[in-house]
Amino acid sequence: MTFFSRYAAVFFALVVLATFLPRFFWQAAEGQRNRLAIFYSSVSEGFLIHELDAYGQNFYRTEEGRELDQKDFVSLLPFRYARDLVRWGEMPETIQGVAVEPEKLPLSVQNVFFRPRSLDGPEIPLCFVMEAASGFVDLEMPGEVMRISGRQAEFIRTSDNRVLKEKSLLFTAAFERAGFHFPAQKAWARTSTRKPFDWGWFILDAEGSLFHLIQAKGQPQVRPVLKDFAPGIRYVQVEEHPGRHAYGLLVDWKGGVHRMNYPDYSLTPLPLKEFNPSEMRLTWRRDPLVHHYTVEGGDALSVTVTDHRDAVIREIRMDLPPLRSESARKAEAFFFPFRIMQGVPDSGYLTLRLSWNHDFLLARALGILAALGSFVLWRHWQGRSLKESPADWLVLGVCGFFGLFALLWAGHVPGQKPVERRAV
Amino acid sequence: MIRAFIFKEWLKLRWAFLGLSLLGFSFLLFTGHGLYREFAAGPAVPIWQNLVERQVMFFSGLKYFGVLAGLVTALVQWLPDTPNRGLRLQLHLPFPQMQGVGILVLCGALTVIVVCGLMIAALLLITQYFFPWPVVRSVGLTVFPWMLAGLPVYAMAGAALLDISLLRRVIYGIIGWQMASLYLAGCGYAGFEGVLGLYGLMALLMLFAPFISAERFKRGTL
Repeated sequence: MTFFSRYAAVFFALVVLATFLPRFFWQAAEGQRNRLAIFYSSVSEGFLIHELDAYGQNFYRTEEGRELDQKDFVSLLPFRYARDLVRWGEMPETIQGVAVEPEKLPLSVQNVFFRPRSLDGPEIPLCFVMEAASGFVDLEMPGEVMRISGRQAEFIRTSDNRVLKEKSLLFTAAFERAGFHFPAQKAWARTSTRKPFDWGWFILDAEGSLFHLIQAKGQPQVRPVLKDFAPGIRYVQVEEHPGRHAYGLLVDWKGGVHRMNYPDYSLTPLPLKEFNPSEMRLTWRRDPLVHHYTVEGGDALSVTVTDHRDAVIREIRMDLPPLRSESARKAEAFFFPFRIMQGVPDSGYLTLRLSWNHDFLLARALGILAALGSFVLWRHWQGRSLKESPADWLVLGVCGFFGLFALLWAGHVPGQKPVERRAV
Repeated sequence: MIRAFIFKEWLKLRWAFLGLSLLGFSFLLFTGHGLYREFAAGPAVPIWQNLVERQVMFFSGLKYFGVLAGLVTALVQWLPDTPNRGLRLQLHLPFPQMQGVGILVLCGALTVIVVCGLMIAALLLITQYFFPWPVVRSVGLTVFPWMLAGLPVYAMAGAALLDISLLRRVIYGIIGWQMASLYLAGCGYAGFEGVLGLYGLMALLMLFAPFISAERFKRGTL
């Protein structure tokens, strides 16, 4: 039993060390870099770069490296800084032959942000189905929630936790008429009253088809949106924008990102190269002339600009200085042959995932040898036989310094006698 | 002999069991009453919206209850026997030593499990009165790992109290604290869904930790 007890203690020491030591190491060793943003100017037809350093100082320059002052920078981005330019009386009347009407800009300028963490996460599967055509300007949260269980959509009154049978039957029948297969796998919406109107819910049925549910004057409107979509639907980000250009973004299981166009739900694949939605962030900016797609992740920043027919106009990619230097990564490989992570970038769920370090094979091998050597010295110093607890060598060979620290802490099994030393 | 061991542990643990249960139930009574007042005072929609959309937890005060239960149980069970080495007497009885330690650990772990299990059951009972099944399920999946944190804390606190090396005691404490922090991680509902079995197994495995400390305690050597 003491044998099991010792290895249980070693195991938990390993879990704690492999979870927290690499985290602390990178907190100390990870560098900092200035924050960069790249914008496309339809005025100069070139890219502009905004850099913010650790002291809060702003630097503005063109893609060729010409320094700009803040006012020049703002003047070259009239759609982004429209209110400033209108205030200064410097808003151009036309840009590239297109008339600019500042009062209509809120309808044509849209910013959409996508983060990997949005893709998956724990949530309570209850839907607040708002009234989309109440006749009032402001939206209101409904007094009931919908759940889509095994064979039906059920409405539950929030005040007394009771099922509303009539409304449940009405909505269930609407789902069935639209060809919905119960139960729902996922449902996406933006449940907030701080939006200009309500586009309801996009719901993935049991067979992977996407449906759109809107409640208008108490009546359900369920429309089939996508059936037999081969890559499969991973995520829908709904965006209620007063311009009603698109329902939002759709991410498929092969990593493709699509714009879901209004009103026909057609999908336009975004022109993103090497975009991995599980690890990278995406910003989509729309203005009256172009779409900008900014992808950030993997020590690089890239921007693709298209016109409104989705033809690519310009692209730029900037490699950012790496946050983790090579020497720090070598030190990590030497000391930490693996790490245990509780979180993953593309999910809010917790896990306990072992991730082996695949960098610098030589550094890893040296780290394990150093751990083995240190253990031999320690055993010798303690007057212990090298044959004692042979499984220790396996722990050291696999876990390197984590194993060394865990074994030093756990000590030897009580009752085993030290080797008798010969008198010199 | 086994019954005698269990009775001896019960004599030590009963007040801890009662105190922890009273504390937990008082908190749940306070929580339930707070919810009732909120529902009675105004529209229910904001309460539901906070719960479903903003993931506000009306039971967040229970987060450290498992840790408290583990710590109190370990202190009440091991502390009376360790300063004057009273436990050595039991370890030298004509009874298999590890079986005896196993009974002690089992009694302590069961105290933690029963107290925490009662709290979970009472919380789910309150939740199902106000909310439907999806909320009850999410609340259960959220609170379960918090309560599981009690087992590593109990095991590591027990091992730390039994061990005779000061350095090793400190490290047992650090490991227990960090293991508990793994169970208390996450800020939303049901973050551990899908890995609860793995975390539960780890918590049970940790109960082996006090055995080696008990052996060292008996021998009085490192």
